Amino acid sequence: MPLLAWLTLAVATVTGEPFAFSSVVKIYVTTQPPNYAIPWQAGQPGGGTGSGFIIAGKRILTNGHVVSDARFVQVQKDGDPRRYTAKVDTTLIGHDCDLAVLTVPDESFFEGTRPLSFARAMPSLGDEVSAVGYPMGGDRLSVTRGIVSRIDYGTYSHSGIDQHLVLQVDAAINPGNSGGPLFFGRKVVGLAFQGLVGGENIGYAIPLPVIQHYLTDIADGCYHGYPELGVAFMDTDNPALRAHLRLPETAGGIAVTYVDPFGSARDLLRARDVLLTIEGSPIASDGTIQTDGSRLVFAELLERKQWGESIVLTVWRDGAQQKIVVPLTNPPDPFIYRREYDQRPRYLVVAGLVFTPLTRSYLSMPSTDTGGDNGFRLRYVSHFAKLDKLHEGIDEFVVLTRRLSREVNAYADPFLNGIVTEVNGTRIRCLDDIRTALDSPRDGFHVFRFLGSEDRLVLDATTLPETDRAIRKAYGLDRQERLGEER
Amino acid sequence: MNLLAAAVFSLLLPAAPSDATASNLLQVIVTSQQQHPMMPWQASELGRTAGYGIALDNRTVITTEHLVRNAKFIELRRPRSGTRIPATVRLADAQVNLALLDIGTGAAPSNFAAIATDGPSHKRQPVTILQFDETSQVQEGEGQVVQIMMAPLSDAPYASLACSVLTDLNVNGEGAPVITEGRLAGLMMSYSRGERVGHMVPEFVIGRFLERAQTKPYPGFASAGFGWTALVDPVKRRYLGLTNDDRGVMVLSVLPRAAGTTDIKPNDVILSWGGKPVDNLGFYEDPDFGRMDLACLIKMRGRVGDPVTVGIVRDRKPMDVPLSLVQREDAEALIPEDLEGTPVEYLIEGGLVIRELTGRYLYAHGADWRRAADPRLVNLYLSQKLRPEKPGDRVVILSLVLPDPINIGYQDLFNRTITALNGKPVRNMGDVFRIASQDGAIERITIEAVGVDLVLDRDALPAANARIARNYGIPRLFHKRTATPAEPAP
Repeated sequence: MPLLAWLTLAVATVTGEPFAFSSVVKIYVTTQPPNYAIPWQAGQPGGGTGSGFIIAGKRILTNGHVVSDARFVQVQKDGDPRRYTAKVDTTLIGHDCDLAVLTVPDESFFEGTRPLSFARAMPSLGDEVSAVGYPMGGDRLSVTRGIVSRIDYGTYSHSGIDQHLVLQVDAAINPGNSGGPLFFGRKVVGLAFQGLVGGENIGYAIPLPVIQHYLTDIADGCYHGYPELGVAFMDTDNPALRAHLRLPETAGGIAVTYVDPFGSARDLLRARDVLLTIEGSPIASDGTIQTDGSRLVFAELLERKQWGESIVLTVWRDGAQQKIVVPLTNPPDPFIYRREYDQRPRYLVVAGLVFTPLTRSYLSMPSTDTGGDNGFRLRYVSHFAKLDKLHEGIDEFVVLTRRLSREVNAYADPFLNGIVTEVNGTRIRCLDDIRTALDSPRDGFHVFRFLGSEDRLVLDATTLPETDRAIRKAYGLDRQERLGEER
Repeated sequence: MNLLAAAVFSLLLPAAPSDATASNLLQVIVTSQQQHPMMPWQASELGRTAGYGIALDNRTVITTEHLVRNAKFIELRRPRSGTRIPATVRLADAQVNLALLDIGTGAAPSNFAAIATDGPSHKRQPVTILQFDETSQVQEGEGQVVQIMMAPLSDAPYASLACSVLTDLNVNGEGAPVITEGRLAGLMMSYSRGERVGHMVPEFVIGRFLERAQTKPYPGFASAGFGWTALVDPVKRRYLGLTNDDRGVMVLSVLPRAAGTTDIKPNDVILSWGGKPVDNLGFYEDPDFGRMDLACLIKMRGRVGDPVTVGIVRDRKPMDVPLSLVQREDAEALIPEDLEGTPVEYLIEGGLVIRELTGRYLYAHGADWRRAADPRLVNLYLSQKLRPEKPGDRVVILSLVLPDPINIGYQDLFNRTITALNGKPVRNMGDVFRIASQDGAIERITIEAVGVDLVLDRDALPAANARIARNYGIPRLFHKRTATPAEPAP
C-alpha cells in the first residue's frame, strides 16, 4: 500500500512561521482487511502509519487507503508525545478518490493547531512544491521539495479503476507519506497518495479540485461519490466518419460507441450520438475542451459535478442538433469491480463448497490465477460483462471459490472458479438465489450448473444438513452464510 | 484390429531383422520460416534446427512433424559424412507428430537397408537411442521405456500415444530413433536433461501412420468428436441413473459435424466403446498396453470411417448408439490452430488488416499468451474454438491498423471482432472477399460492441491503398486461397 507525504518549501520561504508543521499529523492504524478466501473469518489484523493534516471543522484529511478496513486509529502531532484516538466514519470514505476524514473526540488535540488552508488555484507546471509527512526512514516529520512535473489524468490504485486528475511531482514519495499535504507556498494544493514502482522521482498527489469535490460531497454527512456518465466514445477526426454521421465540417465532437446500462446517460444517449458541447464548452474531435487557458479532456468538466446535479450536453443525432440534460444519478453498478473495503464479504457454504459474488477483491486472489480455463473466464467476464451483455438478467456473478474438503465434495475441483448459472433448474441471479434454490431439490439431489460447461455438480440433498454441521465444526465456521451487506 | 494392422504393415515393409538401423540414421537439418503470425504478408526470421530421422528405404525418411514444421529447405547427412542430401516433406501429421520425407532424387544411391519395426512397446523395455556425437559419428545410449500413455503433445494441442523413456544419454535433437534388437521402436520427441526422461512416438503409432500414408487421400487419425469427463462421484452416478459403480464417463461437449456420423449428446454416459468396457475414469483394457485412456481406443486403434457401437445411458435408459469415426480437421474449427503456419488469408483495406483468428495468432503473444492476448479472444479460443455455430464460421478480426491519413481515429481499434462489412454480415474470409469483390471496396466496418462503424473514404481508398502498400512495404494487399484446402497435409 503506497503511503506518501511531502514537504519542503525551503523553510526560509515560510518565514519561520510554524504554520504548517503542527497541523501535519502522523496516523497510526490497525487494519483488518477480510480474507476473501476465508470469508467467514474477520481477517488478519495488520497495521501501518500514514500522514494527514488538520482542516477546517476540527477534522483531519487523509487518504482513504490509510484508514480503510481500520479497527483502531490514533493520531499524533510532531513533537507531541501523546497519541489521540481518532474516529473514522466509513460512510465518509471516498474510495473512488482515495480520501477520508478523521475526527478526534478529545478536542484538546486541536489546541495550538490551525487548520491548513487550500490554495485558490492549481499550481502550474514547474512550480516548486513541498511535501510534508511521516514517511519511512525515521519517526519525525519529514519535508521534501520538488516541482510539479505533470498535471494529468491517472488511475487511483486504491479502487483500482477510477481515474481522476493527478499531480505528478519529482520529490521522493515514500510509504508513510500517504495523506500528507503538498504545499505551494503556504497553501495546500494537493495530498500525497501514491508512487510509481519502477519510476524515478515520480510521486503523485491528489490535486485541489479532487479534494474540494470530496469535501463538498461529504458536507451533507454522506459520501455519494463521483457520478458516472457511462459512455464510451471514439473521436471523429476521420473525415469519412464525419461525412457518414452527416456532421458539419466545423462541429468537432466525439461519437458515442457504447452506453453503459448503469451510467447516468443510460436512457438519454445512444450509440452514434455525437457529443458536441458539454456545459456550453465545445468538445473538439479528439475529446478535449478549451478552458482556463488550457485544453482538458471533456471528462474533467464532468468531474466538477456532484452526484445528483445535471450536465447539459449538445448532441448531434440523426443529422440534427439537440440539447440533452443528463441528471447525474447513476445507480450502483455491480459489474464495475472496484476494490471493496469496510465490508464483510458475502458468502454461502453448501456441503463445504464456498460461493461468493464475483468481486475485484476475489479476482486479485492468487487462487483465481492458476492458469485454468475457469480463471481466464473470470478475467474475461470481469472485463466484458456489460459490453458482451453477459450481465443481462442477473444482479451479480456468483462464483464457486473453494471447497472445504470432505467426502461430499471430493469431486468438485473441476468446478472451482466457475460461475454458477443454475441450481435445481432455477437461474441464479445473485448469491441469495442459491439459498432459495436449495429449498427445491430434484429427486433428492441438488444440481449446480456453471457458465460455459455442460458438466454439473450434484449433491445428495438428503444428507446435506448433517454434512453442513460436520463441516462447520471441522473447519470452524461460526456461520454457514453471510448474505446481507454488513459492516 | 491390431492383428490386421500388423499384417498389413509386414506386407508393407518386409522385415529384415538386422543391425542395419544404425547405418540408416540421418541427421535432418531444417531451415524453417513461418509466415509472420501478426503480419501475414511477410515472413518471420529464418530458423535453423537439427534433429534426426531414419531411412525406411532408399526413398523415404521418417521423423517428427514438429522438426520439419514450416521447413523451407531440408538437408540430410549420414554419419561420418559431410555430404548433404536434399529432402522434401511428403506427408506430415501434427496430430501424431510424424512426418515422411522424400530423399532428393539427385542424391547418390543410398543403399539403405529396409527397416523393420518392433512389436508393441511395453514397459521396462530396454531400448537404444541413436544420434550423432560432435564428430558426426553414431552415438548410442541405453534407455528404458518406463510408461506408455496418451499424453498431450508438447508442440501441438492434441493428445497422442507416447512412451516415457528413461536414459542417461543427453538427447541432442528431436526425431532421434529409438531401436530395440535392430528394429525401430520409436522416435524421440523431447528430452529433459534434468529429469533424464524423454518422450517418444512409439512404433505402434509409426506403424499406423505408415500404413495410412499408403492411402490417397491420407485418411489421418480418427477423432471421437466429443469431450468427456470422469464419472467417479457416486452421487452424480446415482443422479444419472447408473446402477453399476465402476463404469462410464459423461459426455460434455459434442463437436458439430455432418449429420448422421454421431448420435452422441452431452450428458450421455458411455459404458462401452466397440464392445470394450470403459471405466469411470475413462480407461479401457488395451490388449497391448493394459489400462489406457479411451482416446487411445478411438484415435490409435480406430480408423476414420469405422462403424462403432457405443453403449450408453441416456436419460437413465441404457441403449446402443451406432457411430462412425471421423477425422477432426483443423479447418472445421471456429478458430483453427494453423500450426503449420500456412499463409493465412487477409485483406488490407485503408490500412485495416482483416483476417481470421487462429491459434497461432494467439500463441504469438508469447508463452503467457492467455494473459497477454485480448481476454475476449482468449475466452473465445478456450471455450468455443472447436464449435462454430454453423459449419464454416470463423472469427474475423481487425488485427492491426497501419496508420495512414485515411484511418485517422481508428488506430487504437485492433484485436476486435468484425461482425459486418458494408452492412453485410461476415462469417469468414470468404464473405470478406465476396463483399469486397461485389461492392468494389470495403468502406464500412462494423465491430462487435462498438456502436459506431469505422468508415473509409471510398474515393480516397485506391490512392491510400497504394500509399500504404508502398509505405509499409506490403507486396500484396490481400491473400486469397484459390481453393479451399481439401487436406491438412500435401
